[in-house]
Amino acid sequence: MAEAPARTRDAGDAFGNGFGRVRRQIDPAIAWAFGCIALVLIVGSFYSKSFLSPEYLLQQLKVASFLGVIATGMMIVILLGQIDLSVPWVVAVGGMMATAATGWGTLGGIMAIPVGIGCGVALGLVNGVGVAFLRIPSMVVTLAVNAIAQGLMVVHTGGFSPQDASSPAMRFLATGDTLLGIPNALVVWGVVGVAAVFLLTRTTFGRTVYAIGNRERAAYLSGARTRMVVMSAFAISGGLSAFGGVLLAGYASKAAQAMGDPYLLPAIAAVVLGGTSILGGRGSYLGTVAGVILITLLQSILSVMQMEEFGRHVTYGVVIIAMLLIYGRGRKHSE
Amino acid sequence: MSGDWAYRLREHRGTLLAFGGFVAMFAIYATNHPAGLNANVATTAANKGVLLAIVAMAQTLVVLTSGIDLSVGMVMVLANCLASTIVVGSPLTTTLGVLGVLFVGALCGAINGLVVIYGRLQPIVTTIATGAIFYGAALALRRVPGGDVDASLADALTGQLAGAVPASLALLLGLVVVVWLPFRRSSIGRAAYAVGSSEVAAYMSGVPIRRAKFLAYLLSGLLASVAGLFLTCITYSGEASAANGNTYTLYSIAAVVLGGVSLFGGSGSAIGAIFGALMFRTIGDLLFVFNVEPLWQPLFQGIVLFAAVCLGSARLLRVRNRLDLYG
Amino acid sequence: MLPMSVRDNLSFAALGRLSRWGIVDAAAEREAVAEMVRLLAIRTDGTGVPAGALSGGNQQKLVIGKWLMMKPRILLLNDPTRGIDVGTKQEMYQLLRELVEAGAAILFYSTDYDELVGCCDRVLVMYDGAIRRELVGAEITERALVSSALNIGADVSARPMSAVAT
Repeated sequence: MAEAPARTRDAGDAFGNGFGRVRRQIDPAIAWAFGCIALVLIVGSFYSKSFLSPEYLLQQLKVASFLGVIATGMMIVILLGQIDLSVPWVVAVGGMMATAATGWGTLGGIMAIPVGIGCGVALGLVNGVGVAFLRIPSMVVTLAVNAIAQGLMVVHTGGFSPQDASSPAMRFLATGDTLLGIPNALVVWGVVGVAAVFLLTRTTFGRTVYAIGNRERAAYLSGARTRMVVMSAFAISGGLSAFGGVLLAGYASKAAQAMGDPYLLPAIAAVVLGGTSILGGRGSYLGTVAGVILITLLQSILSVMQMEEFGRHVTYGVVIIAMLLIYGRGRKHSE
Repeated sequence: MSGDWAYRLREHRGTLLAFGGFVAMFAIYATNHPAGLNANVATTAANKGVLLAIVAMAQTLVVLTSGIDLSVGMVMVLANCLASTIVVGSPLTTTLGVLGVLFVGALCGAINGLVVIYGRLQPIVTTIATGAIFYGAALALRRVPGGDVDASLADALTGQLAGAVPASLALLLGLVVVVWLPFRRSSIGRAAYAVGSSEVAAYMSGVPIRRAKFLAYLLSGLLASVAGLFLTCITYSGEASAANGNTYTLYSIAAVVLGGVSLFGGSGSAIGAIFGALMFRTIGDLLFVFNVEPLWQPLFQGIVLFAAVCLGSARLLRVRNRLDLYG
Repeated sequence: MLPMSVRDNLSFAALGRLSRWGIVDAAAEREAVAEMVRLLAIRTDGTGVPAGALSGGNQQKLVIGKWLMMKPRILLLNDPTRGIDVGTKQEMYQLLRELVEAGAAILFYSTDYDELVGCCDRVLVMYDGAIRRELVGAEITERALVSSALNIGADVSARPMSAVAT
């Protein structure tokens, strides 16, 4: 076909330039999430003077970083309209394999982190192939992979607690403070976050992720390589979950059985509270950041309040439902 | 009339496959069990299987409406803890206790239903949150494992009838007859299938969507509490174990998939899910029977689970037009 | 993809052309999108608006625009004007004619006789899975179309492709 008529600079160009960037409205979900963060901070300060102190807040951010890295992977998968329930044991695999690699000598020590992440990517690929090519619902595939990962780790550790120690690099990333006293873990999360934002907003991969989440059929029919994108997304999620495990192992100086279990539900909750629709296609990373911080603060305020364990669970659930009722509701049939 | 039979066969294909699969697995299990197939072996196997089967039934009801209930395991745990507290004492208090447990289960289901229907929240996130709430309640009841349950009730449910047939199977059959069949046959049951198939079409056709969904969630909670009660009868105690709750939730999803119920809603039957659950449990027991080292069992279970869901969800083989896969 | 913006919808198929090493060239995208909006006269309050806010006819233009962004030489359309108001239909026909003038080949499927008569240079009529008749130029009349579609060898001005057994 002939080329489109020669471009002329006229008023039509204002369309693209004018409206796109200006006046991007703040997503109400994100506003509410940050509002709740403020609320939690205020309530927390009633319970303990040091709640608002910089040291404490920085500590909270450091702890939040681990969840943040994991939630980043979860967000990409949820944007597709899928879910990754293999997080608990992929996190464990990351930690355990990294610490195991450390025990293999000096080369092992250097390769510890990549080995951990690599195992996560491999498991993520299994998820991805199952969802993208075999068209198995992600909920089931990731559950099965979770079970397999658990089985592998049980065999690996012989049923006992893993004894390997973390490499110095791992500990440095997780616990050190360079750069004006900012915890390294936070820097790591920051880097991961920036990469994620770039991936989602400026690359074809990211565009395709949102399109698939909106309507996979349309994306497929428009020529997008949907299967590759889905598979890669799960691989990324697996890698990030494992990376989270590596960091956790670095923080505690060793891995532990079931170390990933406490991170699955909070990861999902953080993503959803941040305004990402569980059905996919909508959501921004800033929201996920807010969600992660909110969940972390919520957990710490509950322990500061010295609430009994049962109260924590109940509050946790109630808060999630309450927040979603405010801004996560679906549409009425009549709309 | 042969066309009619062919259609019926295709419609219930999932259930029939699950049934066949279970029979095959159990045959292998029974023939290889070191103690042979006697009443006690059957009863122990049945008890474990029935427990999962009941939870799978609960999950099916919600999945049919194209939802998911990630709190079934926690409702079961809550019922377990509650039962270990109130299902004790005289026959009167025991009966009241049972009713109380069932009531709480139905209440949990109702809460799920109300939030999903009137809150218009997605089931997956809702039930994650309510699961946490139910677990908190369970923890409040039983901070440490303990409690007891009326002995005669427990024996009746976990023992044998007429010395041969496991009583748990009778319980399961009873639940099917009292809960599933009436649901399936009623117009509300059919409405539930319609909702799962296409909520928009159901809405346009004037189907009572809200009532159907509510009933599905309510019954799901009720069945989950029956499972919890049964668990109490097996273990004679109540324990707020999050691990257990999560495990049963996840296994119920696996059982549902194995039983030919579509996770997207609108097709499948609780009977299929029951066989899926029984098959799943039997596979686990098979590993024990074949003397697989305990260390390797979790791995094998995981691989089997993976293979099973691959087969259970194999839409690839049935689809003529690739485009349908993306529908 | 209704919740996504006009710009995202238009650029989606052509992302490969608009990006380097997987990174989208935002400036090029903006230009190309603006140009397409102008070319197709898509009525919208800006390209950031969700596609769901547009009228049916404009949404249809979006879909066509998406593929035009690929600068295709051959365009296959399936019932392109179904459900669109008359005014937009005319714009669509005009556009298709312009594309053809510029050298494109367009093949479209339609069951709207007026459309076929008014728009097409050649019509192939199918019956029972096979192409039965080819009508060219002035032979394309409503009568010829209907009779061919019903497989009646009635109109003398039509040339049957092969002897058709009824």
